Amino acid sequence: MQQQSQQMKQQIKHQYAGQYSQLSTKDFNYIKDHLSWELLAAKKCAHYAQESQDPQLATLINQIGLMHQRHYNTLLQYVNPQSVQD
Amino acid sequence: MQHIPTNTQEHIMMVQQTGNLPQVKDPQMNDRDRLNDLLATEKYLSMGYNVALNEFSHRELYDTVKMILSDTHDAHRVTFEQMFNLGWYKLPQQPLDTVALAYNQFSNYQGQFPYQQ
Repeated sequence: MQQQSQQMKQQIKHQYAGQYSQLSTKDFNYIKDHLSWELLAAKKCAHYAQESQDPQLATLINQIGLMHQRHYNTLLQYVNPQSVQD
Repeated sequence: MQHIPTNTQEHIMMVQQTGNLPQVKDPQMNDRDRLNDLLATEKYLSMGYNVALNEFSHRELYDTVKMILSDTHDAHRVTFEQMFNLGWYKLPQQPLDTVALAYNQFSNYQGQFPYQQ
C-alpha cells in the first residue's frame, strides 16, 4: 500500500515534470532566504507588540506577526519531502 | 484630515496627532519608531519577493509567493494608514495648478497613440 502510493507519487512527479513542478536550485535558495526573513519578521513583531505603549498598536503588530508566521509555514511546505507538492 | 497652508502655496495633508509619544524624546525607541521599522521591514520583504517571483520556475511556488507578496503589500499599507491616522505622517500636497498643467501636457501626447480607439 505504502509502496503503491510512493509509486503513484513518482508517476505524478514524472507526469508534471514538464510543468515546472520541481524545485530548481534557485527556487530552493530563494525559499531558504524567505524563510529566514519571515521568521525574523515574526520575532520582531512579537517583540515590538510587547514594547508598544498603545494596546491598539500592539494588536495590529501582533496580527502582522501572525501573518509572517503563517507565511513561514506555507513556504516550509515547499521544502518538505513528505508534502505532495514536489 | 487637515490641509495646513504653509508659507508657500503648498498644503500639508495630515490628521491631528493623536498618537501618544513621549513628550521628551530620548534615545529609547518609541511607538512611532517601531511602526517606521515595521514599514521598512515590509518594504524589504516585498522587494525580495518581487525579485524572486521573476526567477521562480516552480509553478505552484510562483502562485503561492504571489499571494504572499500581496499579503505583505497589505500589511505595509495597513501600517502606513495606521501611522497616518495617528498623525505621524505628513504629506506635502502637490499644488493643483501644476497638476492641471501636467494633465494638459499628457493629454496632448494622446495624439501620439499608435492605436486607434
